[in-house]
Amino acid sequence: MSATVSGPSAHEGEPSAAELLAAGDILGLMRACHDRRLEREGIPMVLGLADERGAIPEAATAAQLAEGRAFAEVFERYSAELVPWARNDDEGAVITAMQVLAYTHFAPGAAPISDPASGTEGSHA
Amino acid sequence: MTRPSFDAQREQLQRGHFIRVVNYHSTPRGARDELAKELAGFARDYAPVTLDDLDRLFETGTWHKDKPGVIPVFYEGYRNSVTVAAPLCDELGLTGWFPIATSFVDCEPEHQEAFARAHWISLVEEDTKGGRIAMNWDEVAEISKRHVVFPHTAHHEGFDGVFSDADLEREVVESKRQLEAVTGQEAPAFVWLHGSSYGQSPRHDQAVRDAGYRYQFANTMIHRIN
Repeated sequence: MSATVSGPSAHEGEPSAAELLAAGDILGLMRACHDRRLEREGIPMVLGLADERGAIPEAATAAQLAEGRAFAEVFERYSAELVPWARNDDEGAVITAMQVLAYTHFAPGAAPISDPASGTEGSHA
Repeated sequence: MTRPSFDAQREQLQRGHFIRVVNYHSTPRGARDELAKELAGFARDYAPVTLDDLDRLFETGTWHKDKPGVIPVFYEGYRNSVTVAAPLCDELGLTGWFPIATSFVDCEPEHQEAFARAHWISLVEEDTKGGRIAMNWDEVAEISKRHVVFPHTAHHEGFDGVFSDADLEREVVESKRQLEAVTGQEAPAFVWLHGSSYGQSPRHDQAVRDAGYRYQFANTMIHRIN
């Protein structure tokens, strides 16, 4: 059975990101992160880094790499669940999956990235 | 040239090349306590990201502080970015990043509501109670001493609404020149309306690069371009 949200989530009386994740309600996570009250709540994002002049050296700490890989795993999961129809270069679909990732694993009160879906823990970057 | 895609995003994450960002817009006084609570949560769990920190992350690929970094971004150049958001960042030890639509700041206060409505700048009720909605140039200079300010074009334009050379000059080049004249320091980054990525239009990419920006912020990534 799926937990659902009828309005902005992580608000009083509504399931937190962690609860939605535990219920496997990825659609609910997407609704909740799109229902943020923008005059009082930020939009959490995890942004990639691209150096157009050349390659960025690989991250030197195991924790940063582990967290990035854990993020990549949940990105795959949310993409498959929400936007399986998307082309590889569908920017809007990429943003949607990344928004759910950030809302679920980075916003205050969100589920730590060490959740069972990723099976990995890390805390850097 | 890195265009947004699932492959690019996956690869960046797997290589540990990512940073956390929180995007804000109008931060009215009436919601100050909730904003304070949210920012305090970020300040507790994450480290501030200065321009030097971001440079170092790109140069080494490695985040160098004990806690992961977070960039709170306060868009548009609202007056309440100066009266509400920046003081909270100061209090909490966060470095705020402020993309400013420079013509919004230039606009006479009595016309700022219309400017906002004409240029995709969202308003909350408190913004429409009269008085100045945008920060002024003195305030821009003041926050630039402790935070990062950079152009969000002049008129809050997307790259797909900027056609002529004169448009590019005004939105990309003149906005940078104006900010730098006021702050006395480099405007290190640029962001289009809607956070369009580098790589969508060679002409617009070149204009941003030639203007001397170090970074272009976008919705899926931060591009280092100079």
